[in-house]
Amino acid sequence: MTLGPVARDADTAAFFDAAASGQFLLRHCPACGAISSPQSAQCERCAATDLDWRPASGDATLISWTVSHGKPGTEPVILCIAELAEGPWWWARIEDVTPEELSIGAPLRIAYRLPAPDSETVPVFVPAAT
Amino acid sequence: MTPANLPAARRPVIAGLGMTELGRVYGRTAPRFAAEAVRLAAADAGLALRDIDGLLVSSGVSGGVDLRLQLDLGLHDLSLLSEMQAFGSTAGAMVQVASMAVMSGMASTVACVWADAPLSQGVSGSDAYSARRRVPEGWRGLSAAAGIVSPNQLYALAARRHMARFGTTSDQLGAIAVAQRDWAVRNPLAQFRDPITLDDYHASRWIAEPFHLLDCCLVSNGGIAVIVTTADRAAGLRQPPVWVRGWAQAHPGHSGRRHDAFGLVTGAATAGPAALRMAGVDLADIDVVELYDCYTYTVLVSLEDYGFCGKGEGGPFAASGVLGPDGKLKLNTGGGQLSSYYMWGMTPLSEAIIQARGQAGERQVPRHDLVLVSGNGGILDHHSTLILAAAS
Repeated sequence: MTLGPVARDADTAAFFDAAASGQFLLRHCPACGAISSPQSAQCERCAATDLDWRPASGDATLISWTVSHGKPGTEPVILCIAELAEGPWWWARIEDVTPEELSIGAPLRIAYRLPAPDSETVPVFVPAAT
Repeated sequence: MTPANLPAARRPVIAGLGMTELGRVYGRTAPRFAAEAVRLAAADAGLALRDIDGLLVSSGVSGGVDLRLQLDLGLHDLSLLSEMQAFGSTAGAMVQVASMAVMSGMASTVACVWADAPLSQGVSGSDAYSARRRVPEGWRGLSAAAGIVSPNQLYALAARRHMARFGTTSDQLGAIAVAQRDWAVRNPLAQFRDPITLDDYHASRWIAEPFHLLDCCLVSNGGIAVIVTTADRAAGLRQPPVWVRGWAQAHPGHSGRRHDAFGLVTGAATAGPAALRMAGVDLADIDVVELYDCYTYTVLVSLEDYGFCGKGEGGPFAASGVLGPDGKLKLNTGGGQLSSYYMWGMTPLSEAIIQARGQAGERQVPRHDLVLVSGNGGILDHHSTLILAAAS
Protein backbone atom coordinates (compact mmCIF):
# COMPACT_ATOMS: atom_id res chain seq x y z
CA MET A 1 0.00 0.00 0.00
CA THR A 2 1.46 3.37 -0.98
CA LEU A 3 1.47 6.31 1.38
CA GLY A 4 -1.65 8.45 1.23
CA PRO A 5 -1.69 12.19 0.63
CA VAL A 6 -1.88 14.66 3.50
CA ALA A 7 -2.77 18.35 3.63
CA ARG A 8 -1.42 21.01 5.98
CA ASP A 9 -3.41 22.96 8.53
CA ALA A 10 -2.41 25.92 10.69
CA ASP A 11 -0.73 23.72 13.29
CA THR A 12 1.40 21.78 10.80
CA ALA A 13 2.48 24.44 8.25
CA ALA A 14 5.99 24.94 9.67
CA PHE A 15 6.48 21.19 10.09
CA PHE A 16 5.56 20.45 6.47
CA ASP A 17 7.67 23.32 5.13
CA ALA A 18 10.69 21.84 6.89
CA ALA A 19 9.84 18.27 5.85
CA ALA A 20 9.82 19.41 2.22
CA SER A 21 13.45 20.42 2.62
CA GLY A 22 14.43 17.22 4.45
CA GLN A 23 14.14 18.34 8.07
CA PHE A 24 12.06 16.91 10.91
CA LEU A 25 11.09 19.64 13.36
CA LEU A 26 10.62 19.13 17.09
CA ARG A 27 9.36 21.60 19.66
CA HIS A 28 11.96 23.32 21.83
CA CYS A 29 11.21 25.23 25.02
CA PRO A 30 13.34 28.37 25.42
CA ALA A 31 12.34 28.56 29.09
CA CYS A 32 13.54 25.13 30.26
CA GLY A 33 15.37 23.73 27.25
CA ALA A 34 13.21 20.59 26.96
CA ILE A 35 12.42 19.02 23.59
CA SER A 36 8.77 18.06 22.99
CA SER A 37 6.88 16.24 20.23
CA PRO A 38 6.15 18.33 17.14
CA GLN A 39 2.41 18.24 17.82
CA SER A 40 2.78 19.49 21.42
CA ALA A 41 1.40 23.00 21.91
CA GLN A 42 2.83 23.22 25.42
CA CYS A 43 6.20 22.11 26.75
CA GLU A 44 5.98 18.48 27.91
CA ARG A 45 8.20 19.34 30.90
CA CYS A 46 7.27 22.84 32.15
CA ALA A 47 3.95 23.56 30.35
CA ALA A 48 5.26 26.77 28.77
CA THR A 49 3.40 27.64 25.56
CA ASP A 50 6.00 29.91 23.96
CA LEU A 51 7.82 27.18 22.00
CA ASP A 52 10.10 27.37 19.00
CA TRP A 53 11.14 24.68 16.52
CA ARG A 54 14.36 22.69 16.55
CA PRO A 55 15.42 20.24 13.80
CA ALA A 56 15.83 16.61 14.87
CA SER A 57 19.03 14.72 14.07
CA GLY A 58 16.98 12.16 12.16
CA ASP A 59 18.30 9.26 14.25
CA ALA A 60 15.79 6.98 15.97
CA THR A 61 15.43 3.55 17.54
CA LEU A 62 12.59 1.09 17.07
CA ILE A 63 10.11 0.85 19.97
CA SER A 64 7.56 -1.50 18.36
CA TRP A 65 6.23 -2.47 14.94
CA THR A 66 3.34 -4.26 13.27
CA VAL A 67 2.91 -5.78 9.85
CA SER A 68 -0.52 -4.50 8.90
CA HIS A 69 -2.49 -6.56 6.40
CA GLY A 70 -5.11 -4.80 4.31
CA LYS A 71 -7.73 -6.23 2.02
CA PRO A 72 -6.88 -9.46 0.19
CA GLY A 73 -4.63 -8.71 -2.77
CA THR A 74 -3.01 -5.65 -1.18
CA GLU A 75 0.58 -5.64 0.06
CA PRO A 76 1.03 -5.52 3.83
CA VAL A 77 2.82 -2.48 5.24
CA ILE A 78 5.04 -2.12 8.29
CA LEU A 79 4.02 0.51 10.83
CA CYS A 80 6.11 1.43 13.82
CA ILE A 81 6.70 3.57 16.85
CA ALA A 82 10.26 4.87 17.03
CA GLU A 83 11.99 6.97 19.65
CA LEU A 84 13.82 9.92 18.16
CA ALA A 85 17.33 10.54 19.48
CA GLU A 86 15.94 13.69 21.15
CA GLY A 87 13.37 11.66 23.14
CA PRO A 88 9.90 12.06 21.60
CA TRP A 89 8.20 9.11 19.94
CA TRP A 90 6.96 9.16 16.36
CA TRP A 91 4.45 6.79 14.74
CA ALA A 92 5.08 6.19 11.05
CA ARG A 93 5.69 3.76 8.21
CA ILE A 94 8.98 1.82 7.97
CA GLU A 95 10.21 1.24 4.42
CA ASP A 96 13.11 -0.52 2.69
CA VAL A 97 13.12 -3.38 5.21
CA THR A 98 11.54 -6.81 5.68
CA PRO A 99 9.82 -7.77 8.95
CA GLU A 100 12.47 -10.46 9.54
CA GLU A 101 15.15 -7.77 9.73
CA LEU A 102 13.37 -5.86 12.51
CA SER A 103 14.03 -6.04 16.22
CA ILE A 104 13.17 -3.68 19.03
CA GLY A 105 15.98 -1.19 19.57
CA ALA A 106 17.08 -1.36 15.92
CA PRO A 107 18.63 1.92 14.66
CA LEU A 108 16.49 3.85 12.16
CA ARG A 109 16.76 7.07 10.16
CA ILE A 110 14.04 9.47 9.09
CA ALA A 111 13.52 9.66 5.33
CA TYR A 112 11.06 11.79 3.36
CA ARG A 113 8.46 10.75 0.81
CA LEU A 114 6.07 12.66 -1.41
CA PRO A 115 2.95 10.47 -1.71
CA ALA A 116 1.40 12.55 -4.51
CA PRO A 117 2.31 15.75 -6.38
CA ASP A 118 -0.24 17.83 -4.46
CA SER A 119 0.50 16.25 -1.06
CA GLU A 120 2.71 17.49 1.73
CA THR A 121 5.94 15.55 2.43
CA VAL A 122 5.52 12.55 4.75
CA PRO A 123 8.36 11.40 7.04
CA VAL A 124 8.99 7.64 7.16
CA PHE A 125 11.60 5.52 8.89
CA VAL A 126 14.22 3.44 7.08
CA PRO A 127 16.98 1.28 8.55
CA ALA A 128 20.04 3.31 9.57
CA ALA A 129 22.88 2.82 7.12
CA THR A 130 25.16 0.09 8.37
CA MET B 1 -17.75 6.16 54.22
CA THR B 2 -17.48 3.59 51.43
CA PRO B 3 -20.39 2.41 49.27
CA ALA B 4 -20.40 -0.93 51.09
CA ASN B 5 -21.17 0.44 54.56
CA LEU B 6 -23.63 3.15 53.56
CA PRO B 7 -27.17 2.83 54.92
CA ALA B 8 -29.50 1.04 52.49
CA ALA B 9 -31.21 4.31 51.64
CA ARG B 10 -27.99 5.49 49.98
CA ARG B 11 -26.21 2.28 48.99
CA PRO B 12 -25.95 2.00 45.17
CA VAL B 13 -27.16 -1.17 43.50
CA ILE B 14 -27.87 -2.32 39.96
CA ALA B 15 -31.52 -3.32 39.84
CA GLY B 16 -32.16 -3.71 36.13
CA LEU B 17 -30.44 -4.98 32.99
CA GLY B 18 -31.82 -4.51 29.49
CA MET B 19 -30.23 -6.08 26.43
CA THR B 20 -31.62 -5.72 22.92
CA GLU B 21 -31.03 -8.27 20.20
CA LEU B 22 -27.26 -8.08 19.59
CA GLY B 23 -25.10 -8.75 16.55
CA ARG B 24 -26.00 -8.56 12.88
CA VAL B 25 -29.34 -6.95 13.63
CA TYR B 26 -30.25 -4.52 10.87
CA GLY B 27 -32.81 -1.82 10.22
CA ARG B 28 -32.56 -0.08 13.58
CA THR B 29 -30.56 3.04 14.46
CA ALA B 30 -28.43 3.36 17.59
CA PRO B 31 -30.97 5.69 19.28
CA ARG B 32 -33.67 3.06 18.66
CA PHE B 33 -31.49 0.37 20.24
CA ALA B 34 -30.76 2.72 23.17
CA ALA B 35 -34.45 3.43 23.85
CA GLU B 36 -35.32 -0.25 23.62
CA ALA B 37 -32.48 -1.16 26.03
CA VAL B 38 -33.75 1.33 28.63
CA ARG B 39 -37.34 0.04 28.32
CA LEU B 40 -36.05 -3.52 28.74
CA ALA B 41 -33.93 -2.56 31.75
CA ALA B 42 -36.86 -0.84 33.47
CA ALA B 43 -39.10 -3.84 32.80
CA ASP B 44 -36.40 -6.19 34.05
CA ALA B 45 -36.22 -4.23 37.31
CA GLY B 46 -40.00 -4.10 37.60
CA LEU B 47 -40.05 -0.32 37.22
CA ALA B 48 -42.08 1.95 34.99
CA LEU B 49 -40.22 4.39 32.76
CA ARG B 50 -41.68 7.26 34.82
CA ASP B 51 -39.77 5.93 37.85
CA ILE B 52 -36.49 6.88 36.17
CA ASP B 53 -35.20 10.28 37.33
CA GLY B 54 -31.67 10.11 35.91
CA LEU B 55 -30.37 9.19 32.47
CA LEU B 56 -26.77 8.77 31.29
CA VAL B 57 -26.28 8.04 27.59
CA SER B 58 -23.34 7.02 25.43
CA SER B 59 -22.64 5.45 22.09
CA GLY B 60 -19.99 3.87 19.90
CA VAL B 61 -18.98 4.87 16.40
CA SER B 62 -22.35 5.34 14.72
CA GLY B 63 -23.42 8.13 17.08
CA GLY B 64 -26.83 9.67 17.47
CA VAL B 65 -27.42 8.50 21.03
CA ASP B 66 -27.67 11.79 22.84
CA LEU B 67 -29.81 13.88 25.17
CA ARG B 68 -32.81 13.51 22.84
CA LEU B 69 -33.16 9.99 24.25
CA GLN B 70 -35.06 11.59 27.14
CA LEU B 71 -37.75 12.68 24.68
CA ASP B 72 -37.76 9.34 22.85
CA LEU B 73 -38.49 7.68 26.20
CA GLY B 74 -41.00 10.32 27.32
CA LEU B 75 -39.07 11.00 30.52
CA HIS B 76 -40.08 14.18 32.33
CA ASP B 77 -38.46 16.17 35.13
CA LEU B 78 -35.14 14.32 35.25
CA SER B 79 -32.74 15.44 37.97
CA LEU B 80 -29.69 14.02 36.14
CA LEU B 81 -29.13 13.87 32.37
CA SER B 82 -25.83 13.73 30.53
CA GLU B 83 -23.96 12.21 27.63
CA MET B 84 -20.71 10.50 28.64
CA GLN B 85 -17.72 9.39 26.57
CA ALA B 86 -14.61 7.62 27.79
CA PHE B 87 -14.65 5.01 25.01
CA GLY B 88 -14.46 1.43 26.30
CA SER B 89 -14.36 2.61 29.90
CA THR B 90 -17.65 4.51 29.59
CA ALA B 91 -20.03 1.81 30.82
CA GLY B 92 -18.13 1.49 34.09
CA ALA B 93 -17.82 5.27 34.35
CA MET B 94 -21.59 5.71 33.88
CA VAL B 95 -22.32 3.24 36.69
CA GLN B 96 -19.88 5.16 38.88
CA VAL B 97 -21.55 8.51 38.22
CA ALA B 98 -24.99 6.97 38.69
CA SER B 99 -23.84 5.42 41.98
CA MET B 100 -22.55 8.74 43.23
CA ALA B 101 -25.85 10.35 42.22
CA VAL B 102 -27.93 7.92 44.28
CA MET B 103 -25.43 8.04 47.18
CA SER B 104 -25.78 11.82 47.31
CA GLY B 105 -29.53 11.77 46.88
CA MET B 106 -29.28 13.77 43.68
CA ALA B 107 -31.28 11.09 41.88
CA SER B 108 -32.94 7.86 42.99
CA THR B 109 -33.15 5.75 39.84
CA VAL B 110 -30.62 6.26 37.06
CA ALA B 111 -30.64 4.51 33.69
CA CYS B 112 -27.23 4.13 32.01
CA VAL B 113 -27.32 3.14 28.35
CA TRP B 114 -24.88 2.43 25.53
CA ALA B 115 -25.89 1.58 21.98
CA ASP B 116 -24.29 1.40 18.55
CA ALA B 117 -25.25 0.36 15.04
CA PRO B 118 -22.03 0.32 12.99
CA LEU B 119 -23.05 -2.65 10.84
CA SER B 120 -25.17 -2.33 7.75
CA GLN B 121 -26.14 -5.19 5.50
CA GLY B 122 -23.37 -6.20 3.09
CA VAL B 123 -20.59 -4.25 4.86
CA SER B 124 -17.88 -6.15 6.74
CA GLY B 125 -17.20 -5.44 10.39
CA SER B 126 -13.71 -4.11 9.68
CA ASP B 127 -15.02 -1.68 7.05
CA ALA B 128 -17.67 -0.53 9.51
CA TYR B 129 -14.95 0.50 11.96
CA SER B 130 -12.33 1.87 9.54
CA ALA B 131 -11.66 5.57 9.04
CA ARG B 132 -13.33 7.25 6.08
CA ARG B 133 -11.71 10.67 5.92
CA ARG B 134 -11.59 12.33 2.49
CA VAL B 135 -8.65 14.72 2.71
CA PRO B 136 -6.61 13.90 5.80
CA GLU B 137 -5.18 17.04 7.35
CA GLY B 138 -2.65 18.02 9.96
CA TRP B 139 -1.16 15.71 12.58
CA ARG B 140 -3.97 13.17 12.32
CA GLY B 141 -3.66 13.36 8.55
CA LEU B 142 -0.01 12.33 8.84
CA SER B 143 -1.02 9.14 10.65
CA ALA B 144 -3.67 8.45 8.02
CA ALA B 145 -1.14 9.03 5.24
CA ALA B 146 1.14 6.43 6.82
CA GLY B 147 -1.78 3.99 6.93
CA ILE B 148 -2.22 4.15 10.71
CA VAL B 149 -6.00 4.10 10.71
CA SER B 150 -7.24 1.29 12.92
CA PRO B 151 -7.17 0.33 16.59
CA ASN B 152 -6.07 -3.11 15.36
CA GLN B 153 -2.70 -1.62 14.38
CA LEU B 154 -2.30 0.47 17.52
CA TYR B 155 -3.03 -2.43 19.86
CA ALA B 156 -0.75 -4.64 17.73
CA LEU B 157 2.08 -2.19 18.43
CA ALA B 158 1.30 -2.44 22.14
CA ALA B 159 1.16 -6.24 22.03
CA ARG B 160 4.42 -6.55 20.07
CA ARG B 161 6.17 -4.49 22.72
CA HIS B 162 4.85 -6.76 25.46
CA MET B 163 5.98 -9.82 23.51
CA ALA B 164 9.47 -8.41 22.96
CA ARG B 165 9.90 -7.32 26.56
CA PHE B 166 8.44 -10.34 28.35
CA GLY B 167 8.63 -13.15 25.80
CA THR B 168 4.84 -13.37 25.42
CA THR B 169 3.97 -15.74 22.55
CA SER B 170 1.21 -16.14 19.97
CA ASP B 171 0.28 -19.47 21.53
CA GLN B 172 -0.38 -17.66 24.81
CA LEU B 173 -2.57 -15.04 23.15
CA GLY B 174 -4.35 -17.86 21.34
CA ALA B 175 -5.06 -19.63 24.64
CA ILE B 176 -7.23 -16.65 25.61
CA ALA B 177 -9.18 -16.78 22.34
CA VAL B 178 -9.77 -20.53 22.71
CA ALA B 179 -10.82 -20.26 26.38
CA GLN B 180 -13.28 -17.46 25.73
CA ARG B 181 -14.82 -19.35 22.81
CA ASP B 182 -15.34 -22.30 25.18
CA TRP B 183 -17.41 -19.99 27.37
CA ALA B 184 -19.29 -18.59 24.36
CA VAL B 185 -20.33 -22.11 23.37
CA ARG B 186 -22.39 -22.07 26.59
CA ASN B 187 -23.84 -18.57 26.03
CA PRO B 188 -27.04 -18.33 23.96
CA LEU B 189 -26.39 -14.58 23.53
CA ALA B 190 -23.05 -15.20 21.77
CA GLN B 191 -22.52 -14.45 18.08
CA PHE B 192 -19.85 -17.18 17.71
CA ARG B 193 -20.66 -20.49 19.40
CA ASP B 194 -18.56 -23.04 17.51
CA PRO B 195 -15.56 -24.20 19.55
CA ILE B 196 -12.10 -23.33 18.21
CA THR B 197 -8.66 -24.86 18.69
CA LEU B 198 -5.23 -23.28 18.88
CA ASP B 199 -4.72 -24.51 15.28
CA ASP B 200 -7.83 -22.59 14.19
CA TYR B 201 -6.41 -19.56 15.92
CA HIS B 202 -3.10 -19.78 14.06
CA ALA B 203 -4.87 -20.48 10.77
CA SER B 204 -7.07 -17.38 11.03
CA ARG B 205 -5.84 -14.60 8.76
CA TRP B 206 -3.45 -11.90 9.84
CA ILE B 207 -4.99 -8.55 10.71
CA ALA B 208 -2.03 -6.62 12.09
CA GLU B 209 0.78 -8.89 13.29
CA PRO B 210 0.97 -10.25 15.96
CA PHE B 211 -2.85 -10.23 15.76
CA HIS B 212 -4.75 -12.87 13.85
CA LEU B 213 -8.46 -12.40 13.18
CA LEU B 214 -9.17 -14.49 16.30
CA ASP B 215 -7.22 -12.04 18.48
CA CYS B 216 -9.73 -9.31 17.65
CA CYS B 217 -13.19 -8.48 18.96
CA LEU B 218 -16.15 -8.88 16.67
CA VAL B 219 -18.50 -6.03 15.71
CA SER B 220 -22.14 -5.86 16.83
CA ASN B 221 -25.24 -3.73 16.56
CA GLY B 222 -27.39 -3.35 19.64
CA GLY B 223 -27.83 -1.63 22.96
CA ILE B 224 -27.53 -2.44 26.66
CA ALA B 225 -28.83 -0.47 29.64
CA VAL B 226 -28.62 -0.87 33.40
CA ILE B 227 -30.66 0.75 36.17
CA VAL B 228 -28.80 2.01 39.23
CA THR B 229 -30.83 2.75 42.35
CA THR B 230 -30.54 2.44 46.13
CA ALA B 231 -30.59 -0.83 48.05
CA ASP B 232 -33.75 0.33 49.82
CA ARG B 233 -35.60 0.93 46.58
CA ALA B 234 -34.25 -2.26 44.96
CA ALA B 235 -35.47 -4.40 47.86
CA GLY B 236 -39.03 -4.48 46.55
CA LEU B 237 -38.15 -4.91 42.90
CA ARG B 238 -38.12 -7.94 40.60
CA GLN B 239 -34.42 -8.84 40.42
CA PRO B 240 -31.81 -9.76 43.01
CA PRO B 241 -29.92 -6.48 43.47
CA VAL B 242 -26.24 -6.30 42.60
CA TRP B 243 -24.35 -3.93 44.87
CA VAL B 244 -21.90 -1.48 43.38
CA ARG B 245 -19.37 -1.88 46.13
CA GLY B 246 -16.21 -0.24 44.81
CA TRP B 247 -14.90 1.56 41.77
CA ALA B 248 -12.06 3.56 40.27
CA GLN B 249 -10.79 5.05 37.05
CA ALA B 250 -7.31 5.60 35.66
CA HIS B 251 -6.31 7.79 32.73
CA PRO B 252 -2.51 7.69 32.41
CA GLY B 253 -2.45 10.46 29.79
CA HIS B 254 0.60 9.48 27.76
CA SER B 255 -1.00 9.64 24.29
CA GLY B 256 1.89 7.85 22.64
CA ARG B 257 4.22 10.84 22.48
CA ARG B 258 6.76 9.40 24.88
CA HIS B 259 5.54 6.63 27.10
CA ASP B 260 7.86 4.05 28.58
CA ALA B 261 4.98 1.92 29.87
CA PHE B 262 3.16 1.75 26.51
CA GLY B 263 2.00 -1.81 25.97
CA LEU B 264 3.59 -2.97 29.20
CA VAL B 265 1.42 -1.45 31.97
CA THR B 266 -2.16 -0.09 31.78
CA GLY B 267 -4.43 1.98 33.99
CA ALA B 268 -5.66 -1.24 35.58
CA ALA B 269 -2.52 -1.22 37.70
CA THR B 270 -3.83 1.79 39.64
CA ALA B 271 -7.61 1.50 39.14
CA GLY B 272 -7.66 -2.14 40.32
CA PRO B 273 -6.16 -1.64 43.79
CA ALA B 274 -8.14 1.59 44.28
CA ALA B 275 -11.46 -0.12 43.49
CA LEU B 276 -10.66 -3.09 45.74
CA ARG B 277 -9.73 -0.72 48.56
CA MET B 278 -13.04 1.14 48.21
CA ALA B 279 -14.89 -2.17 48.25
CA GLY B 280 -12.91 -3.33 51.29
CA VAL B 281 -12.00 -6.65 49.66
CA ASP B 282 -8.86 -8.36 48.38
CA LEU B 283 -8.18 -9.64 44.90
CA ALA B 284 -8.23 -13.16 46.33
CA ASP B 285 -11.88 -12.63 47.33
CA ILE B 286 -12.98 -12.07 43.72
CA ASP B 287 -15.06 -14.96 42.35
CA VAL B 288 -15.71 -13.84 38.78
CA VAL B 289 -13.62 -11.60 36.53
CA GLU B 290 -15.02 -9.79 33.50
CA LEU B 291 -12.20 -8.00 31.70
CA TYR B 292 -12.51 -5.69 28.75
CA ASP B 293 -11.30 -7.70 25.76
CA CYS B 294 -11.01 -5.67 22.58
CA TYR B 295 -8.07 -8.01 21.88
CA THR B 296 -6.67 -11.15 23.49
CA TYR B 297 -3.66 -9.06 24.45
CA THR B 298 -5.84 -6.60 26.39
CA VAL B 299 -7.00 -9.47 28.59
CA LEU B 300 -3.44 -10.68 29.10
CA VAL B 301 -2.01 -7.32 30.15
CA SER B 302 -5.06 -6.60 32.35
CA LEU B 303 -4.58 -9.91 34.18
CA GLU B 304 -1.06 -8.78 35.05
CA ASP B 305 -2.06 -5.25 36.06
CA TYR B 306 -4.89 -6.42 38.33
CA GLY B 307 -2.39 -8.76 39.97
CA PHE B 308 -3.83 -12.15 39.00
CA CYS B 309 -0.23 -12.94 38.02
CA GLY B 310 3.05 -11.06 38.09
CA LYS B 311 4.08 -8.39 35.57
CA GLY B 312 5.30 -10.13 32.44
CA GLU B 313 3.81 -13.46 33.47
CA GLY B 314 0.46 -12.98 31.73
CA GLY B 315 1.44 -15.22 28.83
CA PRO B 316 2.48 -18.32 30.79
CA PHE B 317 -0.46 -17.71 33.17
CA ALA B 318 -3.03 -17.56 30.35
CA ALA B 319 -1.65 -20.74 28.77
CA SER B 320 -1.43 -22.67 32.04
CA GLY B 321 -4.95 -24.08 31.85
CA VAL B 322 -6.30 -21.60 34.40
CA LEU B 323 -8.80 -20.14 31.87
CA GLY B 324 -11.98 -21.53 30.33
CA PRO B 325 -15.03 -23.14 31.94
CA ASP B 326 -12.92 -25.87 33.57
CA GLY B 327 -10.20 -23.51 34.74
CA LYS B 328 -9.72 -22.06 38.19
CA LEU B 329 -10.05 -18.41 37.18
CA LYS B 330 -13.60 -17.64 36.05
CA LEU B 331 -12.74 -15.06 33.41
CA ASN B 332 -14.94 -13.56 30.69
CA THR B 333 -17.56 -16.16 31.33
CA GLY B 334 -19.87 -15.06 28.53
CA GLY B 335 -17.22 -15.30 25.82
CA GLY B 336 -16.59 -11.56 25.89
CA GLN B 337 -16.14 -9.29 22.94
CA LEU B 338 -13.89 -11.83 21.25
CA SER B 339 -16.72 -14.34 20.81
CA SER B 340 -20.07 -13.10 22.12
CA TYR B 341 -21.00 -9.48 21.47
CA TYR B 342 -19.18 -6.18 21.11
CA MET B 343 -21.00 -3.64 23.24
CA TRP B 344 -17.82 -1.94 24.49
CA GLY B 345 -17.84 -1.71 28.31
CA MET B 346 -21.39 -3.01 28.47
CA THR B 347 -20.15 -6.48 27.43
CA PRO B 348 -18.18 -7.25 30.61
CA LEU B 349 -20.71 -5.31 32.73
CA SER B 350 -23.76 -7.20 31.45
CA GLU B 351 -22.14 -10.61 31.96
CA ALA B 352 -21.03 -9.54 35.44
CA ILE B 353 -24.62 -8.69 36.40
CA ILE B 354 -25.96 -11.95 34.95
CA GLN B 355 -23.34 -13.96 36.88
CA ALA B 356 -23.78 -12.02 40.13
CA ARG B 357 -27.53 -12.66 39.98
CA GLY B 358 -26.94 -16.35 39.35
CA GLN B 359 -28.83 -16.25 36.06
CA ALA B 360 -26.15 -17.48 33.67
CA GLY B 361 -27.66 -20.92 33.08
CA GLU B 362 -25.23 -23.43 31.60
CA ARG B 363 -22.27 -21.11 32.13
CA GLN B 364 -23.19 -20.03 35.70
CA VAL B 365 -20.19 -19.91 38.01
CA PRO B 366 -20.98 -21.64 41.34
CA ARG B 367 -19.38 -18.93 43.51
CA HIS B 368 -20.44 -15.47 42.32
CA ASP B 369 -20.48 -13.22 45.37
CA LEU B 370 -17.87 -10.75 44.13
CA VAL B 371 -17.31 -9.78 40.52
CA LEU B 372 -14.56 -7.56 39.13
CA VAL B 373 -15.43 -5.69 35.92
CA SER B 374 -13.02 -3.69 33.79
CA GLY B 375 -13.46 -1.15 31.02
CA ASN B 376 -10.69 0.01 28.74
CA GLY B 377 -10.78 2.80 26.19
CA GLY B 378 -8.58 4.46 23.64
CA ILE B 379 -5.29 2.65 23.16
CA LEU B 380 -5.00 1.64 26.81
CA ASP B 381 -5.59 5.33 27.63
CA HIS B 382 -8.72 5.05 29.81
CA HIS B 383 -9.58 2.47 32.42
CA SER B 384 -12.55 1.90 34.71
CA THR B 385 -13.01 -0.76 37.36
CA LEU B 386 -16.15 -1.87 39.20
CA ILE B 387 -16.39 -4.29 42.10
CA LEU B 388 -19.91 -5.74 42.16
CA ALA B 389 -21.35 -7.88 44.91
CA ALA B 390 -24.32 -10.25 44.88
CA ALA B 391 -26.85 -9.27 47.52
CA SER B 392 -26.80 -11.82 50.33
